[in-house]
Amino acid sequence: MPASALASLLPADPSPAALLEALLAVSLTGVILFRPVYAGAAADAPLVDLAYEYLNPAAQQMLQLPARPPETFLTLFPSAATQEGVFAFYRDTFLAGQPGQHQFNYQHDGLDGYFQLAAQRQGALLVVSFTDTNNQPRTAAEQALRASQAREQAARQEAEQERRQLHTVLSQLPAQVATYRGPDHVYDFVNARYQAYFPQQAFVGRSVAQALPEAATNGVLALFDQVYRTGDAYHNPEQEFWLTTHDHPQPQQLFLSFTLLPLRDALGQVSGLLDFSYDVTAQVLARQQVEQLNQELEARVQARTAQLSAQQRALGQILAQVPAAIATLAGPEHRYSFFNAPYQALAAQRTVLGQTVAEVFPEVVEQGFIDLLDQVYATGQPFIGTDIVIMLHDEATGQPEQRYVDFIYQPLVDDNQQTVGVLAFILDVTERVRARKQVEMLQAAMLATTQRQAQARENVYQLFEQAPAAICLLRAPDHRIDYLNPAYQALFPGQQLHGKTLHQAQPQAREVLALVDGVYQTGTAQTQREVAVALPATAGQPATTRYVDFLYEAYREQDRIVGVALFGTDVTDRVAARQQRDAQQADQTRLFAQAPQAIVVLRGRSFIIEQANENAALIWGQPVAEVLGRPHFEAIPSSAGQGFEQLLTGVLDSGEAVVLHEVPIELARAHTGRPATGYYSILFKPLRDEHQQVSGVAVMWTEQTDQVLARQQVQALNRELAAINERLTATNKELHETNARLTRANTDLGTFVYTASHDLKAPISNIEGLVAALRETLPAAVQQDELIGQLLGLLDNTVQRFLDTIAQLTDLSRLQRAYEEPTELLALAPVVAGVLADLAPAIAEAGADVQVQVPAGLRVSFTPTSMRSIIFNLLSNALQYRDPQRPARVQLRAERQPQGLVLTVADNGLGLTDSQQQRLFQVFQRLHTHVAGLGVGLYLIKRLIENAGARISVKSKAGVGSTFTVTFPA
Amino acid sequence: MLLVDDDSTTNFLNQLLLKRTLGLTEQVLVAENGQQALAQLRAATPGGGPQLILLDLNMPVMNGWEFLAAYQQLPPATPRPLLVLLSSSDHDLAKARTQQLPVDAFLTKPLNREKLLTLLQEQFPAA
Repeated sequence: MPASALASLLPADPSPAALLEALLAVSLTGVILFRPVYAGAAADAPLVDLAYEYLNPAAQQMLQLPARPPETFLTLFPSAATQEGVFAFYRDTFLAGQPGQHQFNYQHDGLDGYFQLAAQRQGALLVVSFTDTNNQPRTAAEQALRASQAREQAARQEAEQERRQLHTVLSQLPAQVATYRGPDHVYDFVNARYQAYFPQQAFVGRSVAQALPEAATNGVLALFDQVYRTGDAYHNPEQEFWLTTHDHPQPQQLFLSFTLLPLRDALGQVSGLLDFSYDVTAQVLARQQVEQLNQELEARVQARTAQLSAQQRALGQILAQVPAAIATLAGPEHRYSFFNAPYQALAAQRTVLGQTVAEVFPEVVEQGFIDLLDQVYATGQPFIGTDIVIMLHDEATGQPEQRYVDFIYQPLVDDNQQTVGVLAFILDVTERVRARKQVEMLQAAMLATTQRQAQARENVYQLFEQAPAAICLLRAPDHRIDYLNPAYQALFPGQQLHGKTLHQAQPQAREVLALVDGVYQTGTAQTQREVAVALPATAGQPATTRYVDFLYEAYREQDRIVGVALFGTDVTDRVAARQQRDAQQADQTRLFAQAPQAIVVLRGRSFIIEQANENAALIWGQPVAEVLGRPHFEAIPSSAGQGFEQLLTGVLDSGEAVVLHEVPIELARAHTGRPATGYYSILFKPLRDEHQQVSGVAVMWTEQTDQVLARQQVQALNRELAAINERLTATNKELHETNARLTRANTDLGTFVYTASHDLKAPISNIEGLVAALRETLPAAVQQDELIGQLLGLLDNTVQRFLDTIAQLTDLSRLQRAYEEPTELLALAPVVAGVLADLAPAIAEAGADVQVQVPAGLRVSFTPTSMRSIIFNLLSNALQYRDPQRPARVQLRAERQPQGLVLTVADNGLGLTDSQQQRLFQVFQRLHTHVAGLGVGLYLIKRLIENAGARISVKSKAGVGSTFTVTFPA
Repeated sequence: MLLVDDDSTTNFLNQLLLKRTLGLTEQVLVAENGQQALAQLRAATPGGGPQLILLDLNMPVMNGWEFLAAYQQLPPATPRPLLVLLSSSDHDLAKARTQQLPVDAFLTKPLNREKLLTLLQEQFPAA
């Protein structure tokens, strides 16, 4: 019935709550409100119990519980979980959400009654209504049933009592007992002894596989499964276990008398197992000891027995199978009384007991054997024959066959020492003899082989002796030198090595000793490369160092290391070659480093700087270490963008070298003090790899900045010089022209002077004559006139001065002709004498003392006329400018001196002041006015002297005198 | 007496000097160059030629050097005339002295009374 319908049926008062409370209070059935209890907080956690929310009075009375017990349902009624399906009913009804009913008889947990249950989920709660029948009268059948049930309960209690006793017994048994439930063998019960084996382990509620994981691997779990599956008990009186416990981490051996019994439920189905075991380790170990002793004893007995039986068998076999043929011969006729199988075989099956030897072996009669038997029989002395040849009938071929036998004919005596028979013991040694003969042949062959081997050894020895390699054999752990060849000895000249240990021979070579030790111990070959061996100087040989490669190999005899073999190969030539190569390499490296050019090797298309020398670093302004391995244009960024990328790429592509001359390059190297713009001559040379592919570029360049700048400077200077030169040439040309003009003018002037002096001379002479004529022509009275006389006198003076001037002009004009006059080697003395003669009147007039010192034969290369003029002028000047205060003295001297011929004219005349001396040689200079003259003379002679390459100088002092010195160069 | 000079003033003065100094009244012949002098010498009657010849060197038409060369080719006159070379150039005179010339005296121009008297005394010491 829906709630709304119910609500509509209920009266409006009292309130539904009050109504419900009253209803519950009066209800004769028990009503319980349960709240489900889950195993955890998770949404799918299972419902495991129920908590009481409310019991109405009837329920409280029936269950003897308060209105809201704090305990849960299963706490109060644990049997409800398994008995009668009560909890399952509750759980399923709640989960189903449908009303449900259940009836059962419950005689657990202090309850005894038949219960009817109705339940329904209401929201989060479960509403349960129930009745029991305890308050109702019961029927007889029911009484009987209940009585029966009570008896059953009593029986159960009794059984429980027994079970408890059993439990106690089990717990106290001196055995390990455990029970398991279900197919997983979950521990139900573990007694104290069992637990004692695993003090730390919890068992109950856990499966065997969980509690004892090792059971899965040692086969015990399989036994459990087997018993559970088959229901057949398992018993092993001495099950071996290995037990690891907390106290004994090492596994302990344990022997248990181990029994697994199936436990069956009421229906006879196996529902669990009983494990019953007790420790029999001590007994087992004791018994095992006994058993072992027994086994040993038995083994000995069996061994002895086996030995004895083997001996017996051996004897039997000897008797039966011994290759010796044995027979006894009785009587003087040698009748067979016994023979064995080999004898019969020897006789080719002919032997018959009782027959004589001669009958059985007719072929041996001739060979003397019967006689021999007779002799033994007669003498009682045994006969022993070795390797006796005997011809016997061959059963297979039917032919006589040669056999070799060792045999003894032993006389057999009776108790009276009388010979009664002969024991024939015959050993067929044919095979042995043949084998021996074969062995002898083999031995001969072996001897030959041995001799050959000895020869081979000798050959090997000689090979070693003459080998160019140094060979040495060291034996035993102390490496005693057992053998060394001459080449090895040569490395240690003068040393006795044989028989010494390595340590004695080379005490300082610890490294070698360790190496040899290693080879001796491990058998691993070792090498030493290029060991320097110093050879001391010997007679005729300077001290040298040889280089040797040593190989150390284990030396084995019968696969056992007994020593170490040294093989030394002289590699001095190789080392020398390499050293030379290294030196060349070093030279090349030095050359590369010290080359006057900058050298760089660029590799690949990014132009990695693979090599660069210091000159390159100098030009870049960067240390080599900073640029190596880097792309060129990244390492020296300032070099980028100047066309070299394309140029280098072009060289890589074309494989052709490129040469640049004095190209300008910008480099950021201000810090080096070099100009940023440098001029370089560069060679780009492609580098090819082993496949002839161009893989890089070698760049060699020299900086020519200084030269280029210098040349530019020189060129600028040259241009300036050329301009100057051009101007100079022009000036020179002008000078030449001027000079030519001057020369012409000079010539003209000379000509003019000559012409003038000559042409003027005639008219003035005429004027002079005319004046004289006039003077004579005038009447005496007129001549007496004072004025006329004065006028005529002035006229005479003027004409005279005119004549003097012309005379001097004539002298000047003579200069011009003096150039043209040839020089000659002139004797000086006659010239001087001539001049003195000319000047004699003047000398006399001056009253002068003229002294001349000119050595006869003194000659000088000069023009005679000029020389005469020079001497005339100097002497006449000396006379003319004499000091009136004192008698004139003139001294003329000529002499040869180192600088040339020196002519001096000294006087004690008026002398000259310094300023006068400076003007002395100028034309028309008259320094003294009181004497006549035009001042042409000194100018004239100076010109004559200097034109001839000579010099004239004057030393003078006013009031003292003058000295003129003329020097004609030698 | 023959004066050979291209300068007429010189000839006049020398003529005057000779007349006044020596008191000569006879005819004085004058030639302006060597050619005229040669012509006069050739025209002279034998024995009637000049006794003194004053010869200048530097003259047009035929100078003194050429005259002397030609004069030596003439047939020698009797009496032989006194030949005096007159020049204003010492150079020419010095040059003339060195040559084999039919010259009796060398005088530097101008000729004056002293030179003339000295010459006569030298040439005619007896007179």
